Amino acid sequence: MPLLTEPGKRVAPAVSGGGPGIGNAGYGGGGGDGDGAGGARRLPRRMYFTGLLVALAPIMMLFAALASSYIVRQGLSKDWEMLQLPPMLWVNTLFLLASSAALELGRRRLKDGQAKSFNSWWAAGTVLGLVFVAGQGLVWWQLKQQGVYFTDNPSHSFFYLLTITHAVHLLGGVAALLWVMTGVGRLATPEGKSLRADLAAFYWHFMDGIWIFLVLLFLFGR
Amino acid sequence: MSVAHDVEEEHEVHVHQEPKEFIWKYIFSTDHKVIGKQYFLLAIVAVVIGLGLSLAFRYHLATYTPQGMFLNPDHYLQAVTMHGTILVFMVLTTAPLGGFGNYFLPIQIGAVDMAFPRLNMLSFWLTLLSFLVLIAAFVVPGGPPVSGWTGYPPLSAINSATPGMGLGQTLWVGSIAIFCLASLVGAINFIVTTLDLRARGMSLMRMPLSTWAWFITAIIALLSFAVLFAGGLLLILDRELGTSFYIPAGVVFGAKELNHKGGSPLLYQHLFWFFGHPEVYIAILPGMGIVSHILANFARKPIFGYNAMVYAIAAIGVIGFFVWGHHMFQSGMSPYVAVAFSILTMTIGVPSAIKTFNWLGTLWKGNIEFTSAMLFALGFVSLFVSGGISGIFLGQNAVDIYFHDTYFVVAHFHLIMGVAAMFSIAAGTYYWFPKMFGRYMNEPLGKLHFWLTFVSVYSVFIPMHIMGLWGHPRRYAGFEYAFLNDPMIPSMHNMITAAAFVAVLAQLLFIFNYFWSMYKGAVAPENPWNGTSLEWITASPPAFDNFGGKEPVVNHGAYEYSVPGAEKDYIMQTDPPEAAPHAAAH
Amino acid sequence: MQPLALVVALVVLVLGTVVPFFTRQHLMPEMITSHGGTIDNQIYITMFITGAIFALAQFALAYMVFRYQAKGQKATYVHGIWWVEVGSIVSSGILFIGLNLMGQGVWANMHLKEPSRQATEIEVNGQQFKWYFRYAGNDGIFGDRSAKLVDDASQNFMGVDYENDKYAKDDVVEAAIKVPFDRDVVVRLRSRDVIHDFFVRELRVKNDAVPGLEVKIPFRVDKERMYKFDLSGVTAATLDAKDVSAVKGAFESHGIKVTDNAEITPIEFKGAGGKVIKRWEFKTYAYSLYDPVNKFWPLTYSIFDEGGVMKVYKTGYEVVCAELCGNGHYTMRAEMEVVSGEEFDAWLAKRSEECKSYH
Repeated sequence: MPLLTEPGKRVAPAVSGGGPGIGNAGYGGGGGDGDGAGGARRLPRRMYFTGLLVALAPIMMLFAALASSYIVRQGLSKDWEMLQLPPMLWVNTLFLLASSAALELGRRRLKDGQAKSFNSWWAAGTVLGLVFVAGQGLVWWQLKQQGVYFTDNPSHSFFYLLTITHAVHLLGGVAALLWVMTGVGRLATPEGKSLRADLAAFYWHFMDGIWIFLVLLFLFGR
Repeated sequence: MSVAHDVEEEHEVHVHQEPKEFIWKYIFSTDHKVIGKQYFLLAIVAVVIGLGLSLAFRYHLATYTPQGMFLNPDHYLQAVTMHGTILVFMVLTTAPLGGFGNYFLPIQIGAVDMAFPRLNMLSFWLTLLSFLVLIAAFVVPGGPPVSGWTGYPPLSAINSATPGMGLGQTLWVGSIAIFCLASLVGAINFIVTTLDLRARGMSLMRMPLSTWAWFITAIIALLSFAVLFAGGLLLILDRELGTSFYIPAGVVFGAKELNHKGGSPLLYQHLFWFFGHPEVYIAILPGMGIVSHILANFARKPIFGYNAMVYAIAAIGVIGFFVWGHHMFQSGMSPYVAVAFSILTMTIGVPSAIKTFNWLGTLWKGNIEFTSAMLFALGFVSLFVSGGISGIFLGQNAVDIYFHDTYFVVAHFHLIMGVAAMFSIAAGTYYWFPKMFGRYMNEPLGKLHFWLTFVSVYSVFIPMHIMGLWGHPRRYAGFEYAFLNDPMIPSMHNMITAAAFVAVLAQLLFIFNYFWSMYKGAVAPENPWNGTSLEWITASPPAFDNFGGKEPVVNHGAYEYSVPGAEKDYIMQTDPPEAAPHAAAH
Repeated sequence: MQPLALVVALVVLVLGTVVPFFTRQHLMPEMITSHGGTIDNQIYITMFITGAIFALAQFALAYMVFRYQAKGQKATYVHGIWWVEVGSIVSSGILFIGLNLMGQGVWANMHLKEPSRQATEIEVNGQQFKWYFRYAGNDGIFGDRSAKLVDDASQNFMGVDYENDKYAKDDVVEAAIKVPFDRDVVVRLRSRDVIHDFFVRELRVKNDAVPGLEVKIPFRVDKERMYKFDLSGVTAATLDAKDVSAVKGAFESHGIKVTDNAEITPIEFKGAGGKVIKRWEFKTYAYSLYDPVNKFWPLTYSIFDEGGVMKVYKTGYEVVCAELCGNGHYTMRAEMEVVSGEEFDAWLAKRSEECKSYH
């Protein structure tokens, strides 16, 4: 007869156990069982972080594919008109960075058990994020006023395509931020909320990084 | 009590309760086993349509005259395009990975379900949506696209390029984009499940090779489908909004210049093949895993060179991303780049050769039982060798000058990613059917299925290689050339068509056997084949949570067959360590 | 029963696949270019090596299946043999990569070398579903072209700027391609709509014609042309009289079917220094297997007077399209004719003058 263990109590390593977690210790945690041989079933926390990190890979591939298309297409063509980056873009960048900072502060407050402070920082971060998206809308509107359309030049097509793709991903992030905020009341423990906050914030910072990458691409990819 | 326990509790709740209502249990199920079967059913429906189309255009080629064509040239190309798209995406990607992978990956590693069951369900429903959008192309005005499964622009980007390039082509791109999303969601689940939900003692190097193959395939899918999505996005923008990513300036249709500037058709090809080549491995790697698993079982031997097999799967996964340019040797791409791609392409032959050696090594000094599953696995090895060998021609840039886009290419990729992959699906079905449905499939019918298929597919594709040597270009709806006027050509086409009919009709036998055995097959025990891996320690079919509330603990490698000094000729992964002191090290 | 059947099937497979190749029944058509031989060699070497691997692997599979079928023996508990693993890695690596490197010389000659400056340049233009070929004319310079000037009604298929560009006026555009024998030729592949692919089997040349891109492919037709044979007892006078019956026997004895509508056309040019260049074009037709009433394919040969002996060469070939370009893809063909360098010059000079006076 094959050997099965009885359904005993699961071994649950401490949440912030560091160990071979993913990302930095502040985020990853989980793991803790360092046992390369599988070991006990891991905590969902570790699983959710693995899932998030794995999910970021295709997003990175998508932007990498579009960015390399941008460079290739620019190198090929004689019709490339470099877009004058609208100044509003820099303001938006500041909003986005500020929102990331606010979320990060909130996330740390939550870890220290300051739920109230978390709420206000988190709300501020979400609003700043929405302001960024709105600001992007303004950028597109301004460009349209100046006669810069999606289809009139490949550099313009790429600008719209990359910024819109980024904004769509960011709106997904906003949904995640709102999910953390509204879900707060339902979550039984601070740790459950903390996990959600960690995941959402991690994603948000990642989209920050993508944004910086795009700005650098627009600036130096010429 | 651990502080994390609540989080876990909440997670466990929706995993462990089996829904009672029919709709939640069988339709909108989050159970990986139900989803696996759903994928498999989808693949069966798709394969019937896809192979039906192939019969239509094979019949056309066999009976072609300029006056009375069975299909007109538009319909011929539409059939070819949809055949390719449906089989590559809806069959070869869904059945081995979505079907078997979903059903058996969690069980083989001792998990109760996938990491994210609801995402898993989403993945299936997106795949189904993608399939329906693709099929919708048949009923829209103009019908499905004619641009081939590769959909190269400008042909695919311009509605006026040729009839049938309107809504049908748009639906095609849309379907592919949805499929990309579905595959990404699916892939995330596979990877996280394998990384984080293995049973106690199930180290990576104790995983069955089938699990390894699904895991690596998921990683390949994760990285490649995102790029195809980008390619499709640009294509749809060129089609619908009039951007110029792929369409260059000075393109003339109907004696009028189009309003496009400076795009590059090669850009699409790069994005497409960056996905397209790994896609070949998405189709075939699970097959390699399944076949390894079955060969060891029925040869009653450990896998010959388990570690080398794992590294070979991983190496194929990695190198597969650096060889896409070999599809573009004659495309106008830089010839220097072609040299690099060609050499890299040859390196991928090395892990493939290792796998072949090791399959033969697994059979060597074995005790081989010839079940239907084993016959198909052996057929897979033969087809893999035959199909791989012709790849040595096509991977060489200089030789490809002659063979590019001839029937040689068609024969090559059909043997390796079409037929070989189908053989692995059939092998897996005969092998795992008792586990999935608690009944055996009919063996005599299975053997008949094997022999009809094995002989007919070789009769289809070996002659195609020869036609490729003569220079017969692919995707020709007729024979309007002097050199296609050789009397050998129609007789070859007739023979291929006859063999293709046998090959396709034989699959009806398989489908009949599948559904008949579900209800009438002989009842199977828990471990009908005396296998070692975790799927054989649980009931047939497995309980909702796979192991009936118990947690397997793994003490052995996946292929401990014929261990000297052991009681039986196999040691299950969960047998106590002392079952075979000699084997415990592995 | 099963193992034996599998052994038989695999042996039949190997013999059925390998034997036709060794009997040279099913190989490529003959080739006529200077680089073609190296490509063919590479193909044959690959065929030999892969054929051996194919046979060995299938036979090994057959052996394992037969030798180790279940007869109550106990399988041997082996996890692998290290030298088999290492050996398979090293040998397959050396074999595959070595084979590839052997082929790189061919590729380099064709694609990496700067084409000769003296090469005759021919612009090949693909469009749905026709090929058009442009020669630079007497001035040796291609005229400008623009998609805006494309006008199919006045047969300006590639938009050559006859109005404003003086280099354009003497450009020659033809629907069939003439290739000079034993000279470097560069085809400049272009397309005006979708991707096409210029493929001539006997040249061993195949490359995509991509819109928005110009790809240069060099080659040199230098092989003794196919079907070289003498026509004994035939004189220039008989040929000038276009008397097909006089040559019918000779052609048919070389396996070339002469149809009722076969014809002989004397072709004469005045070359440099008033030299007369003459040949007789012999066209017979192959009735289509698919449409014997309406369709027939020209099979073109040329008869040359070589010191009083009439010699026959195959000079007509076929350009096809090898990249899916729409519903008429399978009909996209053009004729290719190989002519002597002298005749090519004389022909081009004459056509160029004609075109110049027309524009």
